[in-house]
Parts: sequence; structure tokens; C-alpha cells
Amino acid sequence: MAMPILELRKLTKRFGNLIALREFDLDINQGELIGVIGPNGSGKTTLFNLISGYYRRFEGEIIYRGKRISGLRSDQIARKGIARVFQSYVLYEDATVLENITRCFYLICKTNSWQSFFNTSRYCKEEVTQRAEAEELLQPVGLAEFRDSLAGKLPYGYCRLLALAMALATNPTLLLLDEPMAGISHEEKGLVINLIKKLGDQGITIMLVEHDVKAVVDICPRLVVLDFGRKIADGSPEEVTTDRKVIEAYLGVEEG
Amino acid sequence: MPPVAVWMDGLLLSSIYILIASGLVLVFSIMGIVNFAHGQLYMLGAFLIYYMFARAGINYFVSLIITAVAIGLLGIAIERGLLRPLAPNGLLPPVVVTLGLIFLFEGIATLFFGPAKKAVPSAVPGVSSIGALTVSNEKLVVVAIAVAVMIGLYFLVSHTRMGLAMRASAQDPYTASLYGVRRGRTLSQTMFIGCALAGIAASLMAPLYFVDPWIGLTPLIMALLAIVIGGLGSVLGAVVGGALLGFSGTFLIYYLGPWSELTAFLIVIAVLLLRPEGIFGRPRA
Repeated sequence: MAMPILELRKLTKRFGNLIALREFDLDINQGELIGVIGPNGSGKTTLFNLISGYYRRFEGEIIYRGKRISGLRSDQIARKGIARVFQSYVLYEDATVLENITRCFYLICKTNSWQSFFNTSRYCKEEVTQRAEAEELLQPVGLAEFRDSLAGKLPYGYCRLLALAMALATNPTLLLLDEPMAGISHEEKGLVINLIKKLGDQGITIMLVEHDVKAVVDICPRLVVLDFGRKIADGSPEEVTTDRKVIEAYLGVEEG
Repeated sequence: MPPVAVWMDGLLLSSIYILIASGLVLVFSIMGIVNFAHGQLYMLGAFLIYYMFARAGINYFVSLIITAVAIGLLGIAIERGLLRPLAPNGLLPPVVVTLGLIFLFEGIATLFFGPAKKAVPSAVPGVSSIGALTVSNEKLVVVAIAVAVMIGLYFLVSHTRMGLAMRASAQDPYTASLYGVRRGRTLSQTMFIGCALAGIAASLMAPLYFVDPWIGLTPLIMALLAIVIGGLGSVLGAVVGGALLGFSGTFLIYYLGPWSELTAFLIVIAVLLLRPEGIFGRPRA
């Protein structure tokens, strides 16, 4: 039996008296595409904040590829291959789409500042291969035609695609997608869904937090449902959408 | 048209304002706070130059580099030891600490170096004539070094990985960290560079003016005005703002005498009325 790529053990995060996440357990296998849904304030984003190292103080353990990563800094976690994509965030608005991606390679890559400062041959060589790699990344994401546009001028939905491409530039094994479908048009949604499916086919493990339940059911073979910081369901979309507790959480309990 | 010598002095003053203002704005754009003790770091740098170059007789350029590094390291110590531990409590506590450091550093300087004005001899004596114009070598060297440093800073920020990390961190520290940027290291690098710029400015200015524990205030105010004019958070803005204040200051001293001090503030008021976000600033939501 394969070892899970990510093991979450009794994760609990408190904000004062509020318990945002309560003894949350989850195993994610390599290559799995898993959707996390739940009503507003159910702890979905807190979960991502714990995994990606935004919060470093919490109870429980996070084990990634057999090693404990809870308590590490977010940049250390990123370097281990866990990429988190925000709803929409362009780091360098004044740079082109292609440059945004090469800069991501650049931030992660091995040459240090001194080498790049003096333009050593190794740095130049890396730059050439990086440009080629960046162009390759733009193709599947559907941004090839925008490669020379300024990132700050991209339509909203395409910023989302760019954020995804930038995350891919860090060559992740585990991708955390934080509401990639929020606030974008129907066509753009189609693009994002196709891309996520494609990435799943490539063997990247993906965790998807999303409000759009229909889209998640469409993409993910496995769903986890959170309510008030607790996991209330974990299974296939059919099991989960017919689960009584899930329906109650979303629709409320009928009194009387 | 003012005489060429006045233009030269304007260039000189601008260089210094630009060096100080860009250090201040660099730190501001990444840490989100104004380091009010920036002028006192400049003052400590001037004393370092005085003791190394004027008293111990160490080569001027060596003294300059040591001063820049020493003030840069002091900046890192302030960031790590005082500002970073306070960061989780919001922006106000670290800002208040930098205000307190003004008095600490001025007190230390008065106690150990004494309140008397000290003179630093010319580092590069002699004069050069360019066409009909005769300029002291000292001033030429100051302007040349300032220009070289600013070109270096531009290259550092725009073309190196460190600079990329800084700019990413200025946009959003957490998102930057998702791409592997180490927040702590970027903060230290920024503070080092920003404060080293103050050390360089002090080294350049010390031979032209006198040194005492209170010389930090005017440069700080001028630098603050420069970055308000140029737009908070923009190094280019600091350059333009510094140049505007430097040239207008010298021209108006030439024409108006003591009234010139007023002009810096009039310029700020005019800019803020016409363009509240500063010349290169972006409106903030």
C-alpha cells in the first residue's frame, strides 16, 4: 500500500475561544484530486493556512511524504513542493505574463544573488532554459497568446490562470487551490476546470477548496465536507451529496 | 539663469537627499513602516567617518565602505532585535520604537562623542576646471559616488534575485513566501541596504559640513518630504523628490536667502494638492 503524500493528524486551530478547525484528520494519496467544501466559516481556508504554513502555531501534526512539516515557515514548505494558489494574486503587475513565470523559477532556482549580479554564464544559461520552460507552461494554461501582455492588465479570470501557471513554475507535487472559481465568468470557469483536470491527469496531487459545489463534484472523485471546523463527510460525490449531515449543514435542520 | 556653481551645489544636495530618501523608501516599501531613526543612523555614520578618516587616518574610501557596512549591520540589528519582535502587534509599536531610537542615538552620540561640532578634512583636495567652471574635486567625487551607488541600487532591485524577492515581498509577503521568498532574510537585506545608503550619504557629506549629534534631523525631514513628493513606496519617486528639493533648495538660497527653507514645504503642499498620491505613487484603496 502506498504511503499517503499528505497526512493530517488531529489538526486543531483556535482563535481565542473560536475553534476554526477541530481534530481534523485526513490522508491524501499521491495523485489524488480531492475537493474540500463546506459552508462559509467552516474552516476550509484555515485548513489551507495550516498546511501552507501561514499559521505556525496550532495543535496536531502535518506529515508530508513521511516528514513532519508542521511548524516550518511558509517558504520552507513551498520549497518542499507544496504550492498554494490564491484566488487571484499577481506578484509583478508591471511585468509581462512570461516574466512573471520566469521570475518564479528565479525565486526558487539555485543561482545566488552574487552570480546573477555578475551575470555568470551559469545564470545566463538558466535564463535561456527558463524562458523556454515558461513558454511551455503557458501553453496548457491557455495564456500563450497573452505572453507579452502586462500582467496587471489581464482580465480577472486570466489572472487566476496566471496564478496557477506561476504555482506550476515552482514544480509542485501538491497543489492547494483556494477557490479558483470564485468571481470569474462562465467561460473562464470552463478554462480553469479543464486545466485542473489536466493537471490531475499529469499526476499532480490537488486539494481544491471551492464554494461552487457543482464544479467540485464535476472535477473531484473524492470530497471532504467541513462544518464548524469538523469533518462531517469524506467520500465520493454521490455518497457525500446524499449524506444527511451534509444536507443539514448546507440547508439547516428542519425543526419540529 | 543661476550660475553654474549653483547648479553644481544643487546636484550635490540632490545626491545626498536621494541617497537618504531611497534608503528610507526602500525600508518603507518592504516593512511598511517609516524608520524615523534613519537620520540618526546617518549621524552615527558621520561620526564613524570622523573617527576613522579624520582621527585614525584610515583611507577615505576604505572608511566609507566600512561606514556603509557598519551602519547597514546596525540596521539589521535594529530590525531583528527591535522591530521584528514587535511586528505582530501592528505597525504602531515598531514606528514608536524608531522614534525612541532618535533620542537614544543622539544621547549616545552626545555622551561618547561630545556635543561640539567636529570638522572632517576634505577627502579629495584640489579643484578641477571643466571648461570655464572650477569645481572642487570633493564635490565631483560626492556626485560621482552617489550616481554610481544609485545605478548599483537600481541594478540590485531590478536585476537580481534579491531585488525580485524584495519586490515580491513588498507586494505581499505571504504570497511571496509561497514562491520560496524568505521574509526574514528579505527584511534583513532591505534594512542593510537602506541603512548602508544612509552610511554612504553620511560619509560623502561629512567632509563638506561639520559633524555633531544633531545633524540627523534635517536630512530625515528632507528625505521624508522627498518621498512624500515622489510617492510613498517608489524609489524612482524618492529620486525625483530628492532632486526637486535639492535643486529648489540651492536655487532659492541663491535668490531668497533664508526664506528657502520654506520652499520645501510649499512644494510638498503643492504636490499634495495636485496629486495626493505623490508624483509616482499609486492611489491606495
